[in-house]
Amino acid sequence: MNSTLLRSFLLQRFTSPMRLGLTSLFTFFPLVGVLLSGELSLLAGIAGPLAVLYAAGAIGQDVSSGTLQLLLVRPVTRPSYVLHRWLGAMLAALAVVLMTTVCAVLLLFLRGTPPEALAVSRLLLEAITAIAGHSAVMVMLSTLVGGVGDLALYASSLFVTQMFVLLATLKQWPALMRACNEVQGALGAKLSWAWLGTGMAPSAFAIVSWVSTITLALAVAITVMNRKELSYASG
Amino acid sequence: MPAVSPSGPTRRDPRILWIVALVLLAGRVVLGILEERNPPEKPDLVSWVEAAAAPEVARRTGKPILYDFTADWCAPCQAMRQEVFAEQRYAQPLGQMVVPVQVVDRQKEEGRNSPRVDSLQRALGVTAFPTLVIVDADGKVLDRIEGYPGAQGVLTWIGTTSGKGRLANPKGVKFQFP
Repeated sequence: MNSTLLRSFLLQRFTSPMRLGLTSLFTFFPLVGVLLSGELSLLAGIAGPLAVLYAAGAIGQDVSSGTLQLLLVRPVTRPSYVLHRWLGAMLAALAVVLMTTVCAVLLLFLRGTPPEALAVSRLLLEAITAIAGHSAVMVMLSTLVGGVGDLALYASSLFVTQMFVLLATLKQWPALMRACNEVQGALGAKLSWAWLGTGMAPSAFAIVSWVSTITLALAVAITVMNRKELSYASG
Repeated sequence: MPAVSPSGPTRRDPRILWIVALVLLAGRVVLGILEERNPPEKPDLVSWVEAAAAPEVARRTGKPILYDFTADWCAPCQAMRQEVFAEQRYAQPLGQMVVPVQVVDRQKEEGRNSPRVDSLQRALGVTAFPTLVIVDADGKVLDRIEGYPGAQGVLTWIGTTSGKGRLANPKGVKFQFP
């Protein structure tokens, strides 16, 4: 574990005014919703967008700014660099989700409607798995384009898939619909923990799909990084 | 993480990661086909409230109560459970619009129902399953449907009826909470 790589990445993420502004937006409104409705589940959707936000440009920004050339003259392997970027993005998003959840739980206690421990556990486990999945996909996309172009790539992939979903719905093509579901599942890789405490077994397909998306994304990211030719003149 | 000497190469072949990724991808395809053929039972995602506690929760939250009269042997009830109550995109908004109460009929399995189930069924005139009834916090029946009109139909009905419930509804028939 290279703590310098992690520390510098986290410092960069948490000092970016744009990221901090968007983080406030992503967390403030759900917290207000929790306070008004008493529903902790309103926080369920924040983990994925936060992971995308903190992983966006994880590698692409280093490539565009020329930092990567300087970084790789140090004793750091490319796979290690990719894995640390993934880990860093996960830690950043997780820290925000944890703080938001603690605030939400405190608000619910103040409101007199404390949440069940099981609901909080489910929420956190779903957040952790969503963050791991989304971050891996974003790190992979970040190896493909410079700057925060991965964000545009991610958004356009979601948009194109949604168009295909509409087409599959209109034409009633189940195979296309299934393929779109798989792509959407890969872009937003997460794991449902709804089975927890119900006595039911989790879906093996869901677990394997989630792990498969993460390993594939990281394998692609490392392979692309290995093929990158970096020189001071590469621009 | 493997450390490299300052002068060594920075590239490492992720062969093992690729093997694991491809094995998992194959497993994903196989499991996907298996689950398509034998869909697993999905867990219920609605936070059902005890019938006795529902009026108090409804008064506190300002939401009307949704009574879902169901039975284990009833196929449309089970379809509704899988397609509405086990689907995050429907279960979540449902919990935000109403105080959900599930009333399970056990007449066929056990020969009788609990007194609370009996009194609720009698008070709301339930004769078929599934029956969904929305009642406001004061016990006014806002609307009811019998049968399962599809996931979207159920959610639209709950949305419009619970919206009505937040406004005054003098036409509603008063019902006494058991």
